[in-house]
Amino acid sequence: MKYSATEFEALYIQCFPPSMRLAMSLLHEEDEARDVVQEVFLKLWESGMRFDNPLAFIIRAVRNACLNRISMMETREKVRRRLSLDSPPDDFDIEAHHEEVMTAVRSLLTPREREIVDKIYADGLSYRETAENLEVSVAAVNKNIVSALKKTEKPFQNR
Amino acid sequence: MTEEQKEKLIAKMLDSPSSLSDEELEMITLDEELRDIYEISSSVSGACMPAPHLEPSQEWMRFRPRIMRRPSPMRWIMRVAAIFLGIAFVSAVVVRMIDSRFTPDNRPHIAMLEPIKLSDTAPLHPSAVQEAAECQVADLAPADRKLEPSARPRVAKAVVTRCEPPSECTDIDIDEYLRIQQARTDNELAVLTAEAMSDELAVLHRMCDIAGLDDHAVESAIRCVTMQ
Repeated sequence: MKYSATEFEALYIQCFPPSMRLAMSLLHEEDEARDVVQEVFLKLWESGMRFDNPLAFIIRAVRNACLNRISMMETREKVRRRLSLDSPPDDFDIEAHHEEVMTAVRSLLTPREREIVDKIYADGLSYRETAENLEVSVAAVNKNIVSALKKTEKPFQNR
Repeated sequence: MTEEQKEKLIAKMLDSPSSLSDEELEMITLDEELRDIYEISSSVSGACMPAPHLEPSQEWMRFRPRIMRRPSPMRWIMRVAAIFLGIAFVSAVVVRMIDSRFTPDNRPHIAMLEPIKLSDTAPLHPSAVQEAAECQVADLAPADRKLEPSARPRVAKAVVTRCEPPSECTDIDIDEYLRIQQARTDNELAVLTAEAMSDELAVLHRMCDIAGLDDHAVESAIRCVTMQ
């Protein structure tokens, strides 16, 4: 049985934010993430199907749609967006992995390293902008970021 | 690759990845250490990706026109099915019209346009035929002999014995129709010939009466001429 327009609006408002967060963490671009999420909702609307757990279905569909888009990207585009060059396994829980990475960043890095990681990856600043912002040299920024990444990598090396 | 080159490449990879050349990209994918740093950088980037500022109601207003604009697949399928049904219906009507116009079974029979009854094609009665044959002698009269107009009014003789008309008109094919038409024409000619012969024979008898000849003499004369 198909969702009514009112029911679908309620479903969209409920499921869009988590779907968008997942798509953003996978694609690293807001516009493309929004496009993927809207396509998933469109297919759900057009299918005329109703699910017991629509959020789980939508999250799964968004994840698959994002991974399909990434698999069709060229290496240069992946690197430009800082996307993984490896295809994740089917049972790979991307959100759980991100949570583990954040735990490692918080627990293993020094305050300076955390600050630099935050400026570069969360705020999207360049080395030079980060250096100016923190009043350190560009070389110091590079040294701290490489050190931070190697520390963060350790928990995942044997997997 | 020296350590200094590797450090420069790592810095470039982390700071401005879009400026990497094809050779540098290939080096990153082939070197295990560079590849590992890149992958963990990718993971940290994904984990640190800031949550977008979303207003669900506004997002719904942005999304809603896409639903209204795109017809559902079922509606599209229904539309295609309706077109096919329409084409099939029109084709069926056209085929039916062509079929009814050119198929022999459905062609209107000539007999239906002009009904012919067996009573119109009844055979001549033997006596009429004999009488007509006897009247042939009228042709033997001298061409220059003037015949007086018959005092008797022309009365069509019942030279044809009518059969009982059939209870209903039966359909016939074209060959049968032509045969019947030919027979009817022959019949009419025979009737007209018989009437003409009868009239001329009456005139001949009258002339013989006037001339004082008896019937026996007339018959012998006729027979004599006929023999010639």
